[in-house]
Amino acid sequence: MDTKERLELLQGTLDLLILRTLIFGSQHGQGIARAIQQTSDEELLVEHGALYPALQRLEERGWISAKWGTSANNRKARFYSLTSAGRKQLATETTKWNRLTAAIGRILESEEV
Amino acid sequence: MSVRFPGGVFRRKRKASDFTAEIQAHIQAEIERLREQGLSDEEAHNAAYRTFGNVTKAQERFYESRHWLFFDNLWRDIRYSLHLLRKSPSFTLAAILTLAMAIGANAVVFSVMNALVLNPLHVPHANSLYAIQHGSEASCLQSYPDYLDLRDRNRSFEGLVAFNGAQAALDTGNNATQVWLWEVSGNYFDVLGLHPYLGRLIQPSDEHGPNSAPYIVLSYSFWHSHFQDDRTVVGRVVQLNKRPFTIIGVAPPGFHGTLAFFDASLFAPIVDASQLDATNDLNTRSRRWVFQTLGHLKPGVTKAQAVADLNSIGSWLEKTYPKDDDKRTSTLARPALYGDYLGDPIRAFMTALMLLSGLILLAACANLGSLFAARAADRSREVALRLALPAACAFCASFLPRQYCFP
Repeated sequence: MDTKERLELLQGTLDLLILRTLIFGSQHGQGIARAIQQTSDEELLVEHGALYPALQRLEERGWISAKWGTSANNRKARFYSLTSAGRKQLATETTKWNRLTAAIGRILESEEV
Repeated sequence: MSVRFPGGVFRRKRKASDFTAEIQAHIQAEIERLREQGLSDEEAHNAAYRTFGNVTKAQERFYESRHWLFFDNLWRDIRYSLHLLRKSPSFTLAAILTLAMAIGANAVVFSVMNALVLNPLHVPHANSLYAIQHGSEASCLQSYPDYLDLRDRNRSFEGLVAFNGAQAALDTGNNATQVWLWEVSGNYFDVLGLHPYLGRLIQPSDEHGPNSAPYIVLSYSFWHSHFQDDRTVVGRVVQLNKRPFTIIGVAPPGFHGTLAFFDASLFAPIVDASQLDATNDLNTRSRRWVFQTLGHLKPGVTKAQAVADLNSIGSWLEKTYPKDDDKRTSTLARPALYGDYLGDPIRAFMTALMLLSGLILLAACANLGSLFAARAADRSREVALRLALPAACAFCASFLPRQYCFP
């Protein structure tokens, strides 16, 4: 089992990570959770229970669409893919995130206050 | 910019069972993955559920995301309340009657209060409108020469108007009828900021000394009832006390003069006062017959400043006309109820009435409260049972109080 203490996600960042993960093609919930964990070198903890309501929310906003299908190991799963509105949203959110982290970074690294 | 509808508006709503199926598929896949990593069945099962977190909570969040849960519950409560009301018609009838009578009484008293005290005159900016009242008595009567001095010498009012009530015989060609009319100063409509509904209103330029302006303006309701909304009425000559007067216009709807209760049929220039009522006299300073003088205070002028201004004119009048004018101090009062003469008693009466009807409402609420208490006593067994069941506690906390909001 994982022994490393993982970082909990900041409020509101899960949506961004889901959209980002789906840019590589459609994926089911479990796959999205795994992808986020692996891409972050196991640093981020995605609570699966929070993932599905988030997916539902994004679907209702029209940023992702969903379809039942069969996974690689022949199981039924609901596959999510990015819509064009979702792509636009991802671009906006990414820019916002970059500005936010850059600004916070500047403050944290400044030598004097 | 394209208009984007939120997803789900045109799409069929996703079922809760579909959401649950997805979660189950996820957990099964997790268990499988963990088993492949070498965990036993039980360990894999536990780990999968642990990483997922609270399944029920996820399902609730799914449900709440699509339903406005509050309104859901509210609708359920309303339905249940209606059901309860139908079950006990006598209670329902008693409650409705109690509330209806109390609310009805309050509505009536408030509308009277509104008409008499709060908003009695249908003129623009009625808030800055004040009548001049004698300091020594609750009377507004002035002599016409005194009015002219007050009008021309004061520096506190935007303009000072005068009016007086009179009765005259109106003959429109068939047979004469007695009508009430307001004799008004030439600046009356201008100062009050009123515009004619038809034709024109009496103007300062109409006044050229006694009996110089044989014009009348009809009130809207009199025009409506006696001239059947005839728009050609402007320019017609009618007999008022057997003297010819020309109808020059119709006053705006809802305007009946500057006194509550009293609706006159028409407006005539005050300079014609002696033709309309033989006792009126424009030239004698000692005869106080002008019913009321009033005007808008200039912006920034306080009541105290206006009173000081009027009192200095008053002492000038006392000195200049010692025979006619004595004790010329003034106060300001609300015009609609003839200053404090009627205003004070009516305001006191209305306040008492309002308090009384408030008490009636309070009594009605107390009655309803005790009715509810009696019903609650009937349900004590049910509530005790619900409290004993832990899951029903939330029900008691949220449902029962709301149920009493909708009996």
